[in-house]
Amino acid sequence: MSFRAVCKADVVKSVIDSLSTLVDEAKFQVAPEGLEVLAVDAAHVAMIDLSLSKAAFKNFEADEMELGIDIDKLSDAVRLAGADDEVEIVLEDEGLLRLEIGNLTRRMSLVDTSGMTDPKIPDLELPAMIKMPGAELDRGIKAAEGISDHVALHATAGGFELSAEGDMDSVNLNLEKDTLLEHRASEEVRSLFSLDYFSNMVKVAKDAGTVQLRLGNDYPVRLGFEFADGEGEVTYLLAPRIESA
Amino acid sequence: MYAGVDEAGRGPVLGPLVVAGVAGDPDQVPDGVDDSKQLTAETRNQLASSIEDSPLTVAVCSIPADELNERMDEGENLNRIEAAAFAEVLRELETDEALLDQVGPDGEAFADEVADQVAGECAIEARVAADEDDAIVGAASIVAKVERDRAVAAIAAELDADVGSGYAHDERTRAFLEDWRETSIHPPPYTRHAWSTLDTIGFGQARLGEDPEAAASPETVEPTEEARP
Repeated sequence: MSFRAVCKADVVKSVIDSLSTLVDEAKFQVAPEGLEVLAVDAAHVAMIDLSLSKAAFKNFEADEMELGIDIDKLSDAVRLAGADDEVEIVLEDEGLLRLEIGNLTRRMSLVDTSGMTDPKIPDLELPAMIKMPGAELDRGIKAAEGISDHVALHATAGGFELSAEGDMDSVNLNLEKDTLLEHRASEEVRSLFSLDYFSNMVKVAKDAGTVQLRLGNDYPVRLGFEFADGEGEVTYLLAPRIESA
Repeated sequence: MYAGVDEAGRGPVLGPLVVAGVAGDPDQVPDGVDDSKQLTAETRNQLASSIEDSPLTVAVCSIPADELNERMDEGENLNRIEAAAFAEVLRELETDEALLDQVGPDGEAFADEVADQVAGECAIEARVAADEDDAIVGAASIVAKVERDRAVAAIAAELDADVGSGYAHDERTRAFLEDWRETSIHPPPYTRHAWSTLDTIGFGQARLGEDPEAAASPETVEPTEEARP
């Protein structure tokens, strides 16, 4: 069983940022073509599906295997690298990963994956689809964070609206259909989300350039974006808040 | 006539806020009355019966959780709600001198706010821990606590569940709420929505794979006939 990967520290940092919003440790499914991580947060409110193709790496040689990784440890190790520094990751022994960053060597023990469940991706019909610049969505979320714990995402035939309500205050980000990169909404849909979760997801997504939102009515949101020059992909799924009846 | 007023149930996640007043001669207060929090439930119940059987006058104002939710949603704060309840108790006791167990950071302000709502002349003082050093306020404290315990017991009977004391730090109360969350995204009746407890348990937040519609449906949470004793 062998695993050896070399890539820019930036790519590893993106993986860490995407995962650390939801979990402390994760099971990496490694295959010769690349890797995938499927993880759900402890409260079963949100999940992530992250995939990274072999092409994102300068060098990638791997057998099929599972690597249980403590995200904090990985973050500690990679934090010391500059964005363009190369990181070499090698499975040194069963249960031991070696990271080489320049002349720095960091060994870290792997986490036992036998107790980690494989989350099932729920099969969801999400009728509305919006694409917009991540920075635009981030701006709306930052405004909403100032006044509320929740944000409503609302897609109509005419466009997309993000709104939040405080005791007396309110925030609205209104994006007309033709200002969006893509827009598909046959019916009007609206769902409410916890900013505890959603703002962290958007913070990660905003650097990606374009983000894709898929929405339903009182239904989970799917937030997707690419990283590593399109060779990596993250899809978050977040369950809605339901206002009391 | 001299009266003491105290409350029970300001901070729990479940059950009413109860304000009780006792008026009369402090010498008529049964022996053993102390701050209600220092006594066992059994002793409190016995003392409450003795107080009810004594020549002392008792008045109680109980505000259910759904009324608290509604009033707090409308922007009324808890201190103001309590002041109104204290005043209602004093009006019922028709007393001209009263000592209140203080609510909020400023005893004088609280006493003034209550006095404004009591018609007629009534000298009102409010201070911290009055239930510990004044027998009449101590008696009021016991009545309030016992009334609240009764209300919580009635809720437990109606919901056919062990709801504990109704306070968030009570493991039985937490277990009750967590069980309820397994079948409903909406919190049980008689709970206070302003507290973060319900949020931390996950009420209002759907889980992935959970059908929010089904979880919100009240049919799934009604106790069945078979479940009743």
